[in-house]
Amino acid sequence: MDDVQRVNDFKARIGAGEKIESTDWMPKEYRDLLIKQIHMHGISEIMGAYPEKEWVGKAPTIRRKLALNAKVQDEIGHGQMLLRLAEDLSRPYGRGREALMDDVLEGRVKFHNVFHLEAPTWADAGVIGFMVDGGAIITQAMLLDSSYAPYARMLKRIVAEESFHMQHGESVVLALAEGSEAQRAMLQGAITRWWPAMMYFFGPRMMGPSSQKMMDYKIRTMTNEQLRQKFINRYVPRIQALGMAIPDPALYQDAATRTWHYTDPDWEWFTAVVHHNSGPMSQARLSLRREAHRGQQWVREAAIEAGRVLQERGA
Amino acid sequence: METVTPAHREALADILLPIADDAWIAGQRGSEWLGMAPDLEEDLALSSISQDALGHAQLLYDVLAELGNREADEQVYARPASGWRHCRLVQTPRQDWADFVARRYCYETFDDLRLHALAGAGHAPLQSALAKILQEKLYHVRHFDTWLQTLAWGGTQSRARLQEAMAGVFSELGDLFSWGQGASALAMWNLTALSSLRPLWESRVRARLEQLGLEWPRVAAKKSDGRLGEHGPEFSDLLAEMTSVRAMEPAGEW
Ligand SMILES: [Fe+2]
Ligand SMILES: [Fe+2]
Repeated sequence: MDDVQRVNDFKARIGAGEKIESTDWMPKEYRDLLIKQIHMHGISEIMGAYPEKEWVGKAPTIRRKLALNAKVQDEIGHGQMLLRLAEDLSRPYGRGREALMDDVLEGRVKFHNVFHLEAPTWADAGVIGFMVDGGAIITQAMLLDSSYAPYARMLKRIVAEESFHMQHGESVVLALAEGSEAQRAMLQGAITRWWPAMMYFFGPRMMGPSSQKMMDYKIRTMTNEQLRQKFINRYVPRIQALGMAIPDPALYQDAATRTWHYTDPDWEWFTAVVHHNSGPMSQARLSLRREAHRGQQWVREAAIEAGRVLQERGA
Repeated sequence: METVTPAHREALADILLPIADDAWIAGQRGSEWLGMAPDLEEDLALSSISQDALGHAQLLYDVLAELGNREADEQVYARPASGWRHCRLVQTPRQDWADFVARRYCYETFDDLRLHALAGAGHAPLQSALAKILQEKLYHVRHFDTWLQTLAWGGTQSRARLQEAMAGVFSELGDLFSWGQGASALAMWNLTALSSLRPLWESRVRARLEQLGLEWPRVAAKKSDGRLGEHGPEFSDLLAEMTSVRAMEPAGEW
């Protein structure tokens, strides 16, 4: 079977709704799209630990501190699982964990726009769980149908945990909404900050060529705009129920088509932030990652050396 | 000894508070490593250990509340710096991994001995808290002992970093063994064994360091006593940060 034939057979399998396993043959294009998607997803989970990690030390009750610590741990765990999947797919390229982690430090893999931004108050920590994890659930629920079966299986567990995160965030946000004037003002400030970022979160109205190809291969099954509409539809009533305002005077739902109209986020600005790591917190968060990865390379090397020594001694 | 007098209750609170505070501050400082551990696997393991430590503190604060102290959240968020009884060892902010391993190995080993010695106290709520704590403590001791071994056998540079870190940590050990105001309370609860844990700790740690070919550094005399509430400006800063959000509405719901 020549390659063109093989690729066509592969596409036919996907067209018929079949799922692909890691041991199956796959076209290079499919593999590369998967690596791109899963690598970025994994790195975003890890970079997502930083904005919330800052608030673990300051959490206002014992219960909140434990919950936030556990949430950040879950995100690192998601990153670890996803990177394992990306490592597995990258085997033909001989690229393992170290290389995939180096990529973010050297700007070869991007991470979600939301994790480039400031989280200046405790309300931001709550709103991240409430809105960002809530947004991630919408994206990831779509990926549960992904044609790549190992990704879809992994997402099943991840989405279950994201639901806990959303509930944690919602609980934090609810306490603030029912709190004092100062607490409510802090919450409104955070919602106002995160709304435009969430409008960007799902990507441009017109999808780029690789997102389009991911649709063709059924790695993903919904358009950016479909996902964003789902988010708006879910969050408008939720935010209103909190008695909070949505910072978009142009927001309305077309009564006939049920489509939401909204003010576009500053596409250029956010895109530059993601592509050049030029957001307000991009470099600070990257330098934390660098400190962990590069700064502690000696520890990982020591662990390898100790493993060798102990094996020699038969210990 | 279930029919405890108010004096007994107060004495037990004096004994438990340093143990609870050590666990809380260890969990607080341990959480500073979130996203910063040498690899993702260690990040996950360490986060569990920090959550455990905070959970142990909470269990003990609950026992303390039952003994007449304020409820757990109030003990954490509404106590002045001078009311805290933790030692210097757990208070020092995050430095490098060698320091953290040396520090936590010393603390976990001591806390394990201390908690086992507490098993002699006839107080049911404490014993049920201890049953849970000791189970997890065993895992924490092993975790840092394994890291101690890893860094000791991890090559010349790693061994040197560990040795240097150990010397630094030993210079902060002074008040680990102190009981502050709790010293006289120990006798009331037949817990005098707790006042002589230092030689036990030293022999256990000395044997392990010898086994790993590490030098025994000099233990510095204590400069201040955390068990008496002497923590310096470093802790005032930590406490201010830790309570900063709640300070906005100290009596509010969060
Ligand atoms: Fe996640
Ligand atoms: Fe999450």
